[in-house]
Amino acid sequence: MNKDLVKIILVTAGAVLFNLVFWNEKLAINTVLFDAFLLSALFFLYPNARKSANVNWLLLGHLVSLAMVVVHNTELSKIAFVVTLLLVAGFAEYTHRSAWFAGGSMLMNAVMVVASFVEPIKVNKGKRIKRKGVSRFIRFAIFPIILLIVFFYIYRGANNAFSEIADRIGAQLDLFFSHFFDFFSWQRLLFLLLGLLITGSLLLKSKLDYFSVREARMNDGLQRFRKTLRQKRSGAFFQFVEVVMGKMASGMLALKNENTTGIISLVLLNMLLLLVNIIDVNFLWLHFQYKEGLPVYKMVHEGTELLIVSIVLAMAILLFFFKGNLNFYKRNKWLKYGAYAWIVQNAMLVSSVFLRDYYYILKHGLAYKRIGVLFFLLMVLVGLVTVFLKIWNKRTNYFLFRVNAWAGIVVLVLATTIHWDEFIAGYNLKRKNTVDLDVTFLLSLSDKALPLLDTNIVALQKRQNDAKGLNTDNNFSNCDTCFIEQLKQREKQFEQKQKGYTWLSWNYADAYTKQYFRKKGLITSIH
Amino acid sequence: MSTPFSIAVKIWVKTITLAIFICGIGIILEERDWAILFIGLSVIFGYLVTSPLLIIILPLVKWSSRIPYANRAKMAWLIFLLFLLYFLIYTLFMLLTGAIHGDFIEVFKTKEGAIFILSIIVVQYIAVRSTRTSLYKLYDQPK
Repeated sequence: MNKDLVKIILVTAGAVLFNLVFWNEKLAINTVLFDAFLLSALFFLYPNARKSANVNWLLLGHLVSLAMVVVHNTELSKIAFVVTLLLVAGFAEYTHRSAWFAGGSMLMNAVMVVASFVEPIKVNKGKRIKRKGVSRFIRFAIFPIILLIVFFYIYRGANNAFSEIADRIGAQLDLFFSHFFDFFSWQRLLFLLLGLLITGSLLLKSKLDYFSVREARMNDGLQRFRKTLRQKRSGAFFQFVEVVMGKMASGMLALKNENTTGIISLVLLNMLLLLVNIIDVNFLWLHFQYKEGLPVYKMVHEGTELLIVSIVLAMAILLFFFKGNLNFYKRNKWLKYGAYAWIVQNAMLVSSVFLRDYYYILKHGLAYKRIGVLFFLLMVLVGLVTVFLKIWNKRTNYFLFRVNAWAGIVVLVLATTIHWDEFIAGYNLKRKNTVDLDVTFLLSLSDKALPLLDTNIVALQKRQNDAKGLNTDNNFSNCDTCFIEQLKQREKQFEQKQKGYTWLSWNYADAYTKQYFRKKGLITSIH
Repeated sequence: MSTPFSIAVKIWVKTITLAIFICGIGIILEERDWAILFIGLSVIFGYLVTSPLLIIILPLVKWSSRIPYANRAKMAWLIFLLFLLYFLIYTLFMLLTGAIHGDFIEVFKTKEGAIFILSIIVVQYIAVRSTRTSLYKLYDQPK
């Protein structure tokens, strides 16, 4: 069979399957069905992809994410599922080494999807002549129809008998169309088009291979090449540097001056950071104590964001100094030492931020942002290591971003293996006597955390009583501290939501929660 | 001579005319008192208010002629991108006016929302397809 026709058939079948399994359902076991179809179609259309190591590793990550969608059903697992699926398709269809470029190719696929879908469809020339007649008829009909409508309303206004007949016909037409449209679902048609768009974007390779062509020119190792002053001056950034540095930026000794500026900058920055690190070692690492009356966030949490920004900025500064010829300059030894020292000091700063986060977690328990900071610090550490490797081995920024993207994918996939909401609830409730329980936050966690909250109902009741004792306003109809009522409400909402789903939305997390409430007799009838 | 500008103008005029026509029919069928006034004002101000859209439609027409696809595929791509343009404008307008509350996707899961979006597709299809002779001339011009 013609491969173009096969593509169209597969995309259409995928859209129909998408419509059947996802309509009014959540991403769950149905995702396995759709994914099995998509992957089979993908490897059928692009058989060479199975030989690629990148595709195989990504496929492994994708299958882990898919399993986690069915097991944990968290938003994170769904995001990881989508990201890894896009990357599997990107690496299968195009020649890539970097996830960034593969992502770009998939974006191109999405933009060009309609053209890629229509391209292989051949039009029968015999029918074309017929269509021309239809098109001519439509063009002739437009003006008379407008006139007909205008005069219809004029006569309707002027003649009562005509108006009555028109109303009766109108009512009948109204009835007919309302029945017709009740039977026909416009939303479902739109959903089918969405399915077509998604399946087409994943399966149809765009004719524009801009990103794979661009990537083919990229190398991991830095190459030395000569640039004339005129070429340099064409860049806006160099013009800016020239304004600041004057002739020092463009003269015979420009590279030496750049090296000297870099050394001075790094020495000063290292000294400043050393001071910050000494304070942190003394205050956070060796002599940390929670002070009475001073909120923990004042002591440790404030400024964490700024420290993170400073670390990212530090990496950007190193990338600036080691962007080009300074990598090959013979007397760059001290510049490199300065850079290594700064990387080590920034790693120390990462440890200090980690300690800040740790102390905050000890006092207030786990929360999304606190866990997010931990992951971010992990990524920053990877970033620092790769910046070191870049300078040490004279690597390009392409190498840096490529390796970091892979690290990001690994972290993302590994992060999906934990149900964070349940973990947070379990951690905080286990330490209910030592951490300040934020019950409102706990009640906002996903449904899988509900059984844990329910088993700790006594602790919630205690918090509710404490909060009511402090609250003099007895407005219970809009009560922020009625934790037990809120929990019951969540349980009811869960039951209600589950009634709307079929077996296609089955997932272990919901099944576990359902089972728990069924055992307790809270849920009576969920199919 | 088919220039990108003349084609962009044709598509824009047809789109606005069709939009006014469909909205006008809808309002007349609803038997609103202000129907005639609405249609009159739409005809007068509709083109004026929406004329800046040409700034976006023109590059889309140009880009459609440059993509390495067959003419029909190029035209389909143009319809899709124009649909996306109007869909984004509509969504932005709804967000700015506060018409969309809570779940954004829910709006398009209603019957009215779905019909509205499908009508954008139909209008774009008619507006672009009825300009296909000029479009094909542009696509076949040596680059």
